[in-house]
Amino acid sequence: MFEIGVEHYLFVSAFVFAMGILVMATKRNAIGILLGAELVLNAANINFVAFGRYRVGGLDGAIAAMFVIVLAAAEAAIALAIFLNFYNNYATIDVDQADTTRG
Amino acid sequence: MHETLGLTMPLLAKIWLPAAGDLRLVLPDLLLIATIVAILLAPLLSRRSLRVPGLLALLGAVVGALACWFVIGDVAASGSDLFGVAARDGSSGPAMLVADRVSLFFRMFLMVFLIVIVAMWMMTDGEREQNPHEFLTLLLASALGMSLMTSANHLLMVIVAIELASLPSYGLAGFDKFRRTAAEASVKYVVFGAATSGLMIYGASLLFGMFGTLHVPTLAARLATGGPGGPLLAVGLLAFFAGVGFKISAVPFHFWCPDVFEGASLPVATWLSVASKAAGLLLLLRMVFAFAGHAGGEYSQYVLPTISYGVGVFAILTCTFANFAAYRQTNIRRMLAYSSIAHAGYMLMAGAIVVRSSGYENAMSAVVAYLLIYMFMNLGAFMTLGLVAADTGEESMKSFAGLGWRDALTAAAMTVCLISLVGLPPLGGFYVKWWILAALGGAAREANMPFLWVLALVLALNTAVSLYYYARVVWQMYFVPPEHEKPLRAPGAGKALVVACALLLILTGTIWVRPLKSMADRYTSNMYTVSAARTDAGDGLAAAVRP
Repeated sequence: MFEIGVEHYLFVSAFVFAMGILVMATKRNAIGILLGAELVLNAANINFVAFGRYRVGGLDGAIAAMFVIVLAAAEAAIALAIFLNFYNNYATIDVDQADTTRG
Repeated sequence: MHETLGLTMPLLAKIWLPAAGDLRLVLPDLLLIATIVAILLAPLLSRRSLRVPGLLALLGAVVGALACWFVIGDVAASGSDLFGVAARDGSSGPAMLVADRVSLFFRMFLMVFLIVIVAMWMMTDGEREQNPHEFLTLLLASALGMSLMTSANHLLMVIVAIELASLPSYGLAGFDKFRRTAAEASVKYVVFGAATSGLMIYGASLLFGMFGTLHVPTLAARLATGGPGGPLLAVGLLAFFAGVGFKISAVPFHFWCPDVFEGASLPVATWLSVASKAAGLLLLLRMVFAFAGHAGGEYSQYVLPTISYGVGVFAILTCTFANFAAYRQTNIRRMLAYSSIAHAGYMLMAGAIVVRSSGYENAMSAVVAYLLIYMFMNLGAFMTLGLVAADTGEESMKSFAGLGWRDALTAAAMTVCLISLVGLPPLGGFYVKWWILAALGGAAREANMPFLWVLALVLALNTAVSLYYYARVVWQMYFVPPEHEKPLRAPGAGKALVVACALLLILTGTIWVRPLKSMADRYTSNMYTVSAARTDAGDGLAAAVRP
């Protein structure tokens, strides 16, 4: 029976982070990219809480994670509003269609 | 209910009870918040009048600027910690914010710029804007985020401040719901912003794990006394830099910048081109100088030069790439966007000066003077573009053809702004660039860092390169015949603003050189400095609530 330590949490968080980056790099759907960004934020949250619990002690990590959760919610709210507005203008949320300005 | 309150209140008081002196030093921020609340409540009384919110915003900005002016004298020498969380043993915990003259000076700068932007907006889009309250709320909220960015001293505060500046900016970029380019600009902005802020927060979580704190001076102190290093540290710092680099549009985090400037309305583009970059730069310089506040064997030998090279390479990439990209542009708005990226690169060079000496006060002074002059030259250029675009209906290079014959005064003022953007004497833009060069050279000599000479050389070469694309506009205005000879139809206030900017640039390049320099020196002397008492700040919030 092994003990669960900080390393296990870090593996999970590194995996989630890598998935998030991969999703952001490959998805062309705006909401898909937003999901990738949320995965990265959640990876950071796992880090904050795990480090806070095993390395640092106290509530610093947990408080930081709480702030990040709120920021992620605010970001999702404004991003979805902007995507809706984009859809109204372009009838799609494929970010590759956003190419009228370039250079 | 009563019992819980009885338990909670002393605990809250123990964790956080702001001192009156601290509140005084954040008075400008509190005034901004009050203005936002007033603008949101105004429709209850004024039935969505179009004028009231604009006037309220102007009033708030004027009072805020005056408040900065009165408070700036009260700042303690070498700055002060604000809102330190008191630990159980009575010692003060890590401070979230700091106050020093630079931070208050920046707030004053921001308020003055806010006044101009609100006035510009009222003259152009404000007349027919259907939702002025919402627009101004977003604008002021982003101003609040920017002013917090310049005094943040804790990575959590940095993250919150950057997001508070960014999220309203995404909304501002796409505020005009019926224009396709605005919708596109805001989508690009929000997607890049979400990606880089994710990276930044992940980087902060790594730094938190490595050093056990998010308080920047403590973090720097632990790094200096042989904290963990190696690749993980580099990844953490680099990921964190992505978020800050996004705000100052450092290459390769700059992709949003030209598209957003092109898609957003003119006041918003002007606002983002100066204010958001200024805030990001001051934030970055504060971080870098916190690291430079320490010295010692391995740390001075490896860590500090790495930071210096890192920031320097980003600065070189930023200004060189932007200057060459500006060549190809036919749309003046995009050209000005790349020009603003290049200027951010020049100012970023000051961040490579990480030697513990008078070096970084010089660097900060040069950057503050640069920001002030940059505000006037950019404002003049963007405003002229706005006038020309309103008259001809397009923003291409061609729309400037023959402006010198159609409106001699505006064209002359625009020429002054452009020459100042290049950085030629006898205009303000020359001296501020010269001071950056002098700060780089002085630090290179003092600390024997040849890399800083390279930066100075790159800065000089880039100035020569940039001459070409600015001169192209001047050529259009004077040597290309206009399509028709009718004089430029433009509001008088707009022309007056452009001329005022040009006059200020001429004055700061001639008789006001010394006053400008001594003012920048005065506001950057006694910067917040890291001392032992400020770094051994306990374990953070935990110390206050741990049983």
